[in-house]
Amino acid sequence: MQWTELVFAFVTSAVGALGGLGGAVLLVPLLVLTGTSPRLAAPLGLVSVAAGSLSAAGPQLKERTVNHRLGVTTELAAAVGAVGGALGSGLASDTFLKRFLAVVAIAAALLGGRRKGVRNLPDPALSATDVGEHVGSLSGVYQLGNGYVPYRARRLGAGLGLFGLSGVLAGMAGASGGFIKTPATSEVMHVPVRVAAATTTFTIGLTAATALTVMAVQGRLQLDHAAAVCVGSMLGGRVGALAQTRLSPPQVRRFLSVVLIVVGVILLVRS
Amino acid sequence: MSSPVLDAEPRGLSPLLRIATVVALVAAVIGTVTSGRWSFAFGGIAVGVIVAAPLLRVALFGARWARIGDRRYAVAALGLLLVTAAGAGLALL
Repeated sequence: MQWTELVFAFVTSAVGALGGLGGAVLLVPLLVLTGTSPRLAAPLGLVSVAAGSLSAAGPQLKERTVNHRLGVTTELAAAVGAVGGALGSGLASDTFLKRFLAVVAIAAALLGGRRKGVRNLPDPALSATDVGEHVGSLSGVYQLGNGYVPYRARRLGAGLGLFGLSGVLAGMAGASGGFIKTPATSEVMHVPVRVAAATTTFTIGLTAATALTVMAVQGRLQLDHAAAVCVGSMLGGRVGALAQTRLSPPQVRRFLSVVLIVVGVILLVRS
Repeated sequence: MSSPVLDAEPRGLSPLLRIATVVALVAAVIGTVTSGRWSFAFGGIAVGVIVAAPLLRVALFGARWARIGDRRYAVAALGLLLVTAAGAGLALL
């Protein structure tokens, strides 16, 4: 039984769901630090991402917070990046991947710690029957407390560029890229943070599926280890999501940022 | 200006995702507590489900968007599935 992977996946997914950064960006460096090759750790990170995304899908569909048109459109860029990154990572050396992973961990720490709050305001003319996404556009309405907030995605070109970059990161490092996608969707495309986070949870599952397909074909997926990561991530993600209602996400994000910086620095020094 | 039209999710998607979640979790648990070829087989089932589920979700949304005439996003969904297939194909080369 793969206890190390199970426990790591549980803890990182719980902390990741709690902080809104995703667990894989923490899981992959941890696995590498404990002796797993980056080439084999990256697909396990993607298994963690895909498992967490699937376990969150049901509740998010019920809340109608995911904008699928926005997710599919932006994911086109991320999927192209993920395929390129996954193909490239098969050719890259372990040292390069360790350094790349260190930079990703530190970037995640900095971006996660800077995330901002709500921009869009409730419209009193809207009601519960208006909640959801609109046909033919990247817009919709979501529920915020007792209010209903309309939104429309802006600056699609800049958003697509950032999603392409997040795809490359996912393909190369096995991280979800969620720490780029959520801020890109909320801060660049002006979509409310809650919709951005839910849509990101959907899209990181897609990016992971795309990159995992490539890595499985490359023979880099250890299925026995993947089973343990899958269990840990699904359970950890649920525990983190439940705990999120009790704790302050900004505090957890700051804690997670410190951990990521420490992990990143250790990886840089070791490589 | 006409008011925006609210879209619905494809019929059967939520139950399908619930079933996929349970199947993936059960297969992963069996793959974790067993060893050897059983571990590989059930690990493979778990990974297969978590990879297939989001792609199926895109396919169902794409089919729905095509049916209601939202062609731009139906094409985007099809493109996304093609990119995934192309990635697997490129890795085989």
